[in-house]
Amino acid sequence: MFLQQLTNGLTVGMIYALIALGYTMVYGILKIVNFAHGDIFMIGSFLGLFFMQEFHLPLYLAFLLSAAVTAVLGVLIERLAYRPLRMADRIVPLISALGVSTLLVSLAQKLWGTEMHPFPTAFGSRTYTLGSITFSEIQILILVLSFILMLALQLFVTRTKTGTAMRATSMSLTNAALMGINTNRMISLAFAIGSALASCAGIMVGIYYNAVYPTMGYMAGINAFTAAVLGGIGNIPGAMLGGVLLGLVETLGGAYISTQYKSVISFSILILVLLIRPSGILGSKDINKV
Amino acid sequence: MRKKTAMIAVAALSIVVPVALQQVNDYLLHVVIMIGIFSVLSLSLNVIIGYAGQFALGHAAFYGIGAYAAALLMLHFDLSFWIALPASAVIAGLAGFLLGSPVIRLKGDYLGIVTLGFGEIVRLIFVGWVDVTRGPMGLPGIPAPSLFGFTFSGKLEFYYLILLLVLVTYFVINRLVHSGVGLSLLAIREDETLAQSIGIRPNKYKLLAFTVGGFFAGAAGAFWASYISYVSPDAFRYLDSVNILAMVILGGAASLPGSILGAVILVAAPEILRYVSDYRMILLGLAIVLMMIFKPSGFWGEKHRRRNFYGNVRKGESK
Amino acid sequence: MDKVLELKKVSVNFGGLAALREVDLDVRRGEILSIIGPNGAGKTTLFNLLTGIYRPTSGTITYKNTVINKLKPYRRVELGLARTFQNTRLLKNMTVLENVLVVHAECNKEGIFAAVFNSRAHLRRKREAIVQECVEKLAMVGLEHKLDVLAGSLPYGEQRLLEIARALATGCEVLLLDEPAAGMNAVEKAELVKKIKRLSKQFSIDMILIEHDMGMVMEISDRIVVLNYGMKIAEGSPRQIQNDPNVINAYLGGEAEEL
Repeated sequence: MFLQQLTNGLTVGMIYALIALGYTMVYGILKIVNFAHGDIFMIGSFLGLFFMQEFHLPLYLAFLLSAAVTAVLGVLIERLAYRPLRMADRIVPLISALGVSTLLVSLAQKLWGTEMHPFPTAFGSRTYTLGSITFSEIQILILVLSFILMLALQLFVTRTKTGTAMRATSMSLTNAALMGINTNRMISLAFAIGSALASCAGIMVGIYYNAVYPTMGYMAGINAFTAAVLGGIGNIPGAMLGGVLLGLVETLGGAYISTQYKSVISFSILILVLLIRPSGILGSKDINKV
Repeated sequence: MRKKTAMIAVAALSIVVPVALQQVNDYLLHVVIMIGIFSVLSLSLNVIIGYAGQFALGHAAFYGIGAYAAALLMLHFDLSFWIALPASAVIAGLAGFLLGSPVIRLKGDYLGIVTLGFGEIVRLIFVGWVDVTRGPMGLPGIPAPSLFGFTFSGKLEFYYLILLLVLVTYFVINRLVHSGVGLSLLAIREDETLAQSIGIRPNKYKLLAFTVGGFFAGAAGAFWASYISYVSPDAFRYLDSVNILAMVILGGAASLPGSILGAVILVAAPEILRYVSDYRMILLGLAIVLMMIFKPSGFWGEKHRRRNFYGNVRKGESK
Repeated sequence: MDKVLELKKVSVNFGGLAALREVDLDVRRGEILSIIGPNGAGKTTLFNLLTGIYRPTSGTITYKNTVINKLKPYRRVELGLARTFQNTRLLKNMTVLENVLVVHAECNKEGIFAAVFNSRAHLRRKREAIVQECVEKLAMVGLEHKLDVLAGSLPYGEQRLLEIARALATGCEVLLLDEPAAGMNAVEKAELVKKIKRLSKQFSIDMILIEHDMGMVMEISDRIVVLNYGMKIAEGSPRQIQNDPNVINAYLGGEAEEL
C-alpha cells in the first residue's frame, strides 16, 4: 500500500516538475510569474486530444505536434502580452498574465465546451505488477518520458553554448546583453521550452486521469508553481526536486489524511515555504541591498 | 459650484431612474443592483491594491466569508439582517487581518499567489465543511431584511439598500484615503524601504488595508446573501477575484470613482453585448491585456488624484 | 560634554567581509560631526547601522542612554534619529508638501476612526496646523514656494533640500546627512553650508555628515572622524585632522591634494 502510494506520488510529482520548469525558467530570467503557464499546459492537453481525435495521429506524433504548437503559443504570448511591458511597474505584467490566463481558459471553453473529455487512446490501461506495486503503462510513460525530458533540458542548459547563454541571461539580463547575447531570443527560447514541456505534461495528465477540461490548468499550475518555489524558483534542478517532493507529500497526505483537502495540503506547503524559506530548498538567498 | 450641481444631479438620477427602470424591466434593476455590489467590492479591493500597493488575488474569499457568515447568522441564530450585515463585515475584516498578518512580508507575485491560495482554501472549506455549509448544495432560504414590519422584498427596495451601502463605503474609504492614513499608504506603495526609514510602519498600514478591504467585501457578501436568499461556493471562485481585480485596474488603481466606473463597465458591458456573451470572458481577458499595454493607469486613473488633499494648502501658503 | 549617541566597539560583517571593525564613536550635544574616509571605508555602512537598516555583528549602539542595537528603522525615527540619502530618495509621485507631511508625527498617527468620523471642520483645523508646521520646515530650507510640485520634478539640489526638510519634520534631534552637497555647484554648496549651520545652532539639531568635499567638511565641522578599511584611524578638530599623518597616508594618491 505504502509503496504503491509512493509510486503514484512519484508519478504526479514528475508531472509537477515538468510544468514547474516553465515557471522557473521564465522567473529566472524575467522575474515574473507567468500566471498563464498552467493554462498553456491545458491547451497542450487539448491539442493532443485534438490531433488524435480529428486526424487519428499516433500518440508520439500528437506529442510532437502539440509541443510545437504550444511552444509557438508560448512565444507569442511573451511577445504580445509581456514584452511591451518589460519597463513597466512590476504589477503590470502580472495583471497582463492574469488577462492571458482568463483569455486561454475562456477560449478553450468556447472551442471545446466546459465538460470533461475522455482521452481516446487504448494506451496506458495495461498494467504490470512488480512485487506489491502495480504500474500502469501510462505511469511508466510518465516516469520515463519526464525523466528523459528533464535530463535533456539539464544537459542542454549545462553543456551547450545556447544553454550557457540562457543561464547567463538568467543571472543578469543587462550583463548578458552587454556580452552580446541576444536576450530577447533567450527569453523566447525559455517560453518555447517551458510551453513544450507543459504540453507534454498536459497530454500525459490527460491520459493518466482520462480527462481533459478547460480549468484543469488552474490547480496543476498552482501545484507546479508550489513545486518551483519549494525547490527554489529560478533553479532548474530545484524545480525537479520540488515537483517530486510535492507529488509525494500530496499523494501520501491524500491517502492517509484526507482526499477532500488534498489541495489544501499543497497550498499550505506553498504558504509555509514562502513565509519561512522563500528561497526554497536549492535556491540561493537574495541579499536585499538598500 | 459646478461640482455641487453635478452631484445633486447624480443623486436625483440615482433615486429616480431605478423607478423608471423597473417600469421597463425588472432585470435591468437587477443589473444595477449587481453594479452596486461590485462597486463595493472594487472600492474595497482598491484600498489593498491601489493604495497599499499589495497585489492581492483572493478578494472573492472575503466576499464569500461575509456571505456565509450572514447566511449562518440569520438562519441559525435568527439575527436580523441589520445585525448580521455589520457582524459579517467584522468577521470578514477579521479574516483580512488574520490573512494579512503572515503574508504582509511577501511582495509582488508571491503575495498574489499566496492570497490566491487563501481564496481557494476558503472556497474548499465552503465545499468541504458540509455539516455547516451543506457543501456544494449551498444554503437556501436566507431571509430578506425587514424593518419595523416592512420587508425588503422587491428589487427596488434592494436597490435603495445597496445604494446606501455604496454611499457608506465610498464615504468611509474616501475619508480614509484622503487622510494621514492615505498618505502613509501611498508612501508605502511607492517605496516601502524608504517609508520604513522615514518613520512609517509598513506592516501596520498594510494590515489596516487588508482589514478595511475585508470588512467592506464582507458587507457586500452579506447583502448578496440576503438579496439572492441563497449562497453556494460557486459565487466565490478565483475568476470572481480576477473579475474584481479587473474592475479596479480598468477604472484605475488608487481612484475611487474609477472603481465604480470599473464595476459599471464590467457588469453592464456583458449585459449590453448580449449577443457576444459567449465571448464575454475572452473579451475580458483581452481587455485586461490591452489595458496593461496601452493604458495601465486605467480609464479614470491617478492623473486625477488630488494633489495636497491633506489640509488646506492655499491657506498654509499665503504666509 | 553630553553624549547623545555612542558606539562602543561596533563591528559589522557581511559574510566574511568586515565592513566596520570595532569602531568607537560618539556624537555630542550641539555639534556637527563629519565622517570622512576614502571610498569603501564604511561610511555609508555606518549610516545604515545608525538608522537600523543593518544591525551590528558585535558591539553596542547607545542613543540617549538606551541600547538601540535591535530597534526597527521607524522606531529610531520616533526616537529622534533621521537621515538623508546619498542618492536622494523621495516619494517622486507625491508633492513636496506631501513628502514632508507623511513623516509628520501628527499626520502619520492620524487614526482611521478620527479620519472617518471626525467632523470636517475639526479635521480641517487640526490638519491646517500640521500643514502650517510642515510649511515652516520647508521654509527652513527655502522650499515653501514649491508645495504643489511633484518631488520627482524638482531640480537635483532642491531634492536634497527636500530630504533635509523631511528629516526635520520627523522632529529629529540627530540628523544624518549622507553627502548632502553631491552634485551641487559652488554657490549652492555655500548656501547649503549656511543652512546646515543655522539648523544646527538655531534649532539645536546634532548633525552627522558624510561628505567628500574637504573644503566644506573643514568649514562646517566641529569635529571629524576618519574611517579607513572599516576602522577609525583618526578623530579630532579639523585642524588636528589636517595634520594627522595617518589621515594623510590614507588619502595619499588621488585625493591627497584636496586636503
